[in-house]
Amino acid sequence: MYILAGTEGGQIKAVPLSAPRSSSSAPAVPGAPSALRPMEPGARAAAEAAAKAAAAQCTTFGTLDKNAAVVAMASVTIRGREAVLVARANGVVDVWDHARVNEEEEGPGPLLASVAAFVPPEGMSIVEKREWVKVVDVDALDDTTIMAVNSRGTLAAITLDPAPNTPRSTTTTAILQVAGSVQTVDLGKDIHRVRPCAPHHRHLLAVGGNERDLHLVDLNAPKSQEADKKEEHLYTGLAKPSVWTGELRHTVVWRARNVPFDSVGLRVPVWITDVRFLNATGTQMATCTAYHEVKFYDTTKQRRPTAVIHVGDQPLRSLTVLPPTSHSDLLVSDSKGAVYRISPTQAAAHARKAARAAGDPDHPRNKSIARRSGKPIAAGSAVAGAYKGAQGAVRQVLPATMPDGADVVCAVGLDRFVRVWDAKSHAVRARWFVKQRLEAAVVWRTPIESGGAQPEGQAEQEDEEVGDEVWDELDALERRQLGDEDDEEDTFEELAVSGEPTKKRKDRRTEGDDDEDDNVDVPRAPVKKKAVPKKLKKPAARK
Amino acid sequence: MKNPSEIRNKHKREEIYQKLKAEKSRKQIEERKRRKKAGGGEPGTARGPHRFSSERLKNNVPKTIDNTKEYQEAIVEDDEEVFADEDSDEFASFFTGGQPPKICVTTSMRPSADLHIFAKEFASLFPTAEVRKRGTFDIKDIVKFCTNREFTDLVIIHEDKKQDGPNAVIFIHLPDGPTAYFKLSNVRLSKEIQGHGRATPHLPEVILNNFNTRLGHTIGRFFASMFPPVPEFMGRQVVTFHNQRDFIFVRRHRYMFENKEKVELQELGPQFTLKLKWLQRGTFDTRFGDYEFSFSQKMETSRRKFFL
Repeated sequence: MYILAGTEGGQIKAVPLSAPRSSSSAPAVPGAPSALRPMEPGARAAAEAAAKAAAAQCTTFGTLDKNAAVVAMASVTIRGREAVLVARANGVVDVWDHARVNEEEEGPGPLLASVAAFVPPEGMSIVEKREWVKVVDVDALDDTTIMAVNSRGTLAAITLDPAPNTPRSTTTTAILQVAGSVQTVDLGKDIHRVRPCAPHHRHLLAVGGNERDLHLVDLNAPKSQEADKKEEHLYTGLAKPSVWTGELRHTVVWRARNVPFDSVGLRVPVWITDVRFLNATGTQMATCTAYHEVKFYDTTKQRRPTAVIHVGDQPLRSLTVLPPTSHSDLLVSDSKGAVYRISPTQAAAHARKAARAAGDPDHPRNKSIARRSGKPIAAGSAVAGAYKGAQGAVRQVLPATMPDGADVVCAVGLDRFVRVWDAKSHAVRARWFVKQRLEAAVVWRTPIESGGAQPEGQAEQEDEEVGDEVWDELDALERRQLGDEDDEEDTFEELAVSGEPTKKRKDRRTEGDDDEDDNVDVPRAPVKKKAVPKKLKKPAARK
Repeated sequence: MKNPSEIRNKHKREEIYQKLKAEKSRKQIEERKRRKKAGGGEPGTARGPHRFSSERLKNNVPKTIDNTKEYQEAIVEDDEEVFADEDSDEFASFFTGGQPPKICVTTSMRPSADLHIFAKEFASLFPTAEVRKRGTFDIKDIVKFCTNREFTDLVIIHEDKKQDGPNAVIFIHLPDGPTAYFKLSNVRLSKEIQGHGRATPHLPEVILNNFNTRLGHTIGRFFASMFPPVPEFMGRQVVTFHNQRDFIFVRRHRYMFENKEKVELQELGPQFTLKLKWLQRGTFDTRFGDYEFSFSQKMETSRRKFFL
């Protein structure tokens, strides 16, 4: 199990989660503060060795290019295979399948498709172009279509088809390419997060942004179901799993309302930075805002938030639900490195206790002046602890469940570390220094066996049934590379690759023991080998 | 023997402790006499280091915080990836593009006279810096003005109480560079320095010491990008940013070579100490910006752990 973190340089760092060793040294005595313990002889050397071992476990995919900085990532299923969508600041969305790795230098790697989701139209200034092209969020609408939203609010739905020249349709999974034209719909400006209600209703999107309060957009629904801005229109959600029809209809089926004016009569500003659905029918959501609030919504009850929790005093950057299975607590991270755990159940329990004690001046709970004067109960009761250690803004916090059943919290941020804590005990479990600022991350479950940066000698695993067409394509690719020595970018257009989509790599390896024979039999045109760098090149953006 | 601090009787306790001290000091004197008899003095003295004392010194290297630092994995060694990352960071326009620095130095609002004087001396450290009056402009507005006038850096020297003098400096790299907030302490103007010299307009050399970690590299590059890249060696002036235990000591000297081995230094210009409090990505936006590093007491898990 891995964490794939997208960096500011456009690379993806894969960090193994299952490894028990890490670059952090857990204190031997849990209670003793480490500042007071004398340094044991050899402790520094041990820490250094552990850190080097941890660093060796990290794999890097892609080349460093700040223009292609990773902005958002999503873990989706495309055409039956688990893939990771990587949205970049230059408008390109990549689809990566990290289970399929770069065995030979010229071979296809994890990159399945690279789509230029946003191409700036003519006549835009440089600043406008940058805004147009900058992707804000990315996810999958269904098995074949991905959606990307740019900072101007345009949602582009891109359908991916297998590449045409695939000889064997049954056992082949080709690299994907864009089918037809890209459909777009305008969601309005200043959108910061568009989250589909996964996994059953991917056409139901929760949308929010700066001064754009939370609203639900149903791409399937006809305009008649549009929620009025003035009326208290409630939304009952979708009970049965439904599929996107294929049309992009901007129908807002539910709009949130802002909280009432505050105690001095001022409107409370709204700046949503992250949204999550809390139930499968799409009626309960939570948002985190740049005004350090976590708001809960229930579309069946009311338009206003059902609860507002103030967390810290920094803008909140990322919100997620923990544990992934039972949706009870939330994790929220802010721009200075704090990761909080929000427990609505704990807040409810505290509220119940307070309600029971309310009105009774002798109750010990009512000792404080704040309580007696009728002020609202401090929202600290909802914060059920923090995960400490991050030094810079945590751009993405993720939950994960380890193979051994332990729940962990992973955080990725601007301090160039990937950190993992144990969810229950809040202890630091692991920590990797990955040298670049990190913007987004996903958890990847299938094993990555040989990474992109492995030395050549280790390339033993090979794809079975590598056909002639592949070699021809590879030769053509090499000839192209030899042709323009200065051009660093390869184009992986329509490289057909054989391999089973649904089988895991382990199975394939045990199956095919005649790999060597296959390799020898296949005729290969003798081509001069140019020194191709080991790392996977980012292909040129395609229209 | 019982620890003298456990004796309850104060007189008795004092007596025993003084006896112990006298004994210890007597032993030390004897040891010194013995060493002196064995021959040789201390390094740096008139007699110079002797083979016995140098051996002794070699074997008795004292443990200091500096040489028992905790392992910091963010320390940059020979790493291609880090260098590539640095070459394309916000300071690339200076390092690879060769854009000369142009610094605007200003103060917090309603500065005291002392603050203004220090601001002018501070600006004299940087050859291409100019001091502007603050007025009542917001920092975000000043950032916009400076970007329009093609400044590369904005420095704001901050004081809280007029009588206490400056206590913070904010460095903002333009147009969208990082913002660094330093705590400023031990400020001494040149006239307060004994035997100071007067700085000349020659472009100084820049020395950056001990910026080892990735964060340290960023800060070091920040400082380096504020000086013109090619110094005038004829001026023999050097500005030093020396990082030790996360404190950055800033000094300006003029050096003079007496002969090939010996160098004399004369201190010029202001002298101050900086400590990084936070580093924020983007220009000044403490409310909604993202922090790359934000110091807090929670980070101080050990006396031997440093971040720069």
